[in-house]
Amino acid sequence: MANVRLINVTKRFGRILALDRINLSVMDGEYLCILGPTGAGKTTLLRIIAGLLEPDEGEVYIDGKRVNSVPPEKRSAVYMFQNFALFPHMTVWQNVSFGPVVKEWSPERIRNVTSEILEMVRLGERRDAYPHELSGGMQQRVALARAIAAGAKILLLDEPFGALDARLRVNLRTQLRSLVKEQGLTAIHVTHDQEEALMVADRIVILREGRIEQIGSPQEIYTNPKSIFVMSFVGGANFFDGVISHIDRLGSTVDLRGGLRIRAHSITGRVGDRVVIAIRRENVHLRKSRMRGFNNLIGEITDVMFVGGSIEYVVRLENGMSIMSRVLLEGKGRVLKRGDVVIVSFHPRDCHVFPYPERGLLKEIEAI
Amino acid sequence: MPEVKLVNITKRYGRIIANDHINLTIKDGEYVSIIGPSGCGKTTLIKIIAGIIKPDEGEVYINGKLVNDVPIEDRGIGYVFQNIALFPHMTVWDNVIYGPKVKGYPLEEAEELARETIEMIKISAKKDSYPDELSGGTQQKTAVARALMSRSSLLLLDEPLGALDLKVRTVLRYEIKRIVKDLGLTALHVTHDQEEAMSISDRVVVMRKGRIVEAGRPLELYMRPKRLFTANFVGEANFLTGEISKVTENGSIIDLGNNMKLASTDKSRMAGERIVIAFRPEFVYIRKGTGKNTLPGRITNTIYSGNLLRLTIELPGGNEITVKKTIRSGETFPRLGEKVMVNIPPENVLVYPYPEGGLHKELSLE
Repeated sequence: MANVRLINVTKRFGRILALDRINLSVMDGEYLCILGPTGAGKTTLLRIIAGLLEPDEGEVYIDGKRVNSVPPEKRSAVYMFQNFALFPHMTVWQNVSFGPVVKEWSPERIRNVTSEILEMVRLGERRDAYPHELSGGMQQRVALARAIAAGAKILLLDEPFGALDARLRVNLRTQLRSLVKEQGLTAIHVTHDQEEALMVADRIVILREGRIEQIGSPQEIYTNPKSIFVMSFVGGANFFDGVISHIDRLGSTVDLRGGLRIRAHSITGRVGDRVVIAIRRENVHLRKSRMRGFNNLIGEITDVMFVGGSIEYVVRLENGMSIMSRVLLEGKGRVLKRGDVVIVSFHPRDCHVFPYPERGLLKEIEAI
Repeated sequence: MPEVKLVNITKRYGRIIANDHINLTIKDGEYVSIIGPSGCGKTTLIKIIAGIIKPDEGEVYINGKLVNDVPIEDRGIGYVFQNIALFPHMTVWDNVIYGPKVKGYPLEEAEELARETIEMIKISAKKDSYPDELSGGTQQKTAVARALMSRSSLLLLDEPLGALDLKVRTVLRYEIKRIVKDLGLTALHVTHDQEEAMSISDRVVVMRKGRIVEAGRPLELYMRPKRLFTANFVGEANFLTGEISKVTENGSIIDLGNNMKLASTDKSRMAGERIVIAFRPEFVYIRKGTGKNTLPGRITNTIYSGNLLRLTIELPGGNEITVKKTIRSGETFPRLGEKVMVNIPPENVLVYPYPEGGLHKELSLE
């Protein structure tokens, strides 16, 4: 049993509302990611769970017990990782047995617990190695073993791979998830990297300006984003400003400026409403000839970018607007060229319709 | 003509060779990125071009002139650092106009230049803000604006986006490329982020242990890396060891053991030679039945990441490979434990000699 429950947690720093009535339950054994841009309140939330910060209002429960005034060192199940820093002058064995030694357990108990945990993380043979002699993945396992030896059941991870090479991160994060799952730990992992969250989380919490914007499984968040912000922050999309011109039982028609018309299955609002149409880049297909059905537009390729195994095309449409299309690179390495004229098509099913945001579209999608 | 030419550049720190006989030409108007693991010597190299570090041997030419003894301020370059180095007590405007002012430009001319520059970088609205009032992205834009104020046609970018959030980084890299191309500048960009380099560069240089491993256009490096190290460092790849069993007219047949054989269009190796094959996760196709160039396997893990599904497939003998698949809306996911056949087209099976120090060491990035 290692669950966390937050009820109406609010935290202010001077005039800034860092967390605004957060309600959240993290289940036993769950791998939860808290995802959001810088300044969303992610780290504050983690520090409140760790006991490093007191909430101004609201309650924190760990394993059903209210822990609001319990200091961090007394929250024995909770272990906060700043990074995976190990004691460099200590061997693997000394690093892992550090917690039990400090707690003055009997030598026999220390020996048994340490060797058992080292076996669990498959490091029994490297017990006498120093951290610098180990790979990044092994160091991570030592750090985790040390946390488990210290009694951790809930891991709090604050951007654990922040300082690492992009290429190494991909391997380490899937390894970390497997380890956490194998050991039956509960993990709360803070990141600003949407790809990381999508890959490792059972559930993702999207935090924005101190509030929870959406909670769901990676699939739910990706395929059913509740807001323009979520869709933009997780995965990104093409966003167009338009007005609903027609609604029937199969969906709605949205008119964009310059006479373009987009058909969507989703229905949000009524005829005459100002809305935003959003289409994921990978759902925008480029072809040489016109297809049957809705949403066939003519455009010219203005830019071609190569992004991690995919090609991204920027296509200028007849009305002057640009739309982006992303295609997984195929084995022949065929790539369209700048200046090519193409038919741009997307299925009405893949067109999301959102009410036009009060603060304007740019405010919801800009990153800088 | 802002062309950069490096001839036999060598730099040692005690017993460590940071740059080992580097030869590289960056053409006028070209956007070149240097990538490589930490400690490969990429930062040393850009600092040698800037004039911040002196090489022990070799020559640096800018515009055909030997500049080894020319100090940084006279090399005619703009330089953007990773650690955003703005003057904290000055506004955006004062930061941007600082250089020309110190150099004693006529005020009117300097102001005109500054106005033009902040307009282009799209930070005009923030010109009266102080650095601590700005987001990291806007601070770095200001640093770029300041570097452009020299109006030099060579821009050196040393991990310019390293300190920023991922999403900001993605937006800014395209902004930087746009500005460089709009102004017709020559740019050299050092980064640890291979995706960043691949998405904006005309040419990418891969470095390792002080040497250039290979250089090429991004797509070329991805599709046909000449070296095993590149196949691993640039993008993701699967690696399997085997032996050439036959060289044919169209390529070669590779024996992977456990009754697995694959054809490759590569015919650079000889029959009997021990080799390593590499193939990208995107170029592996899951089939229901048997077919040409297929291997049998079992799905042992599925990870969903946005529109991509990453599958781990265990081959006979226990090796695992990664497969990337686009999920179309309405499509069902392959199941865990399911037995499948995987097809890898022969043109996507890359072949390399088995590395002397062993495969594990060759693929280590640490």
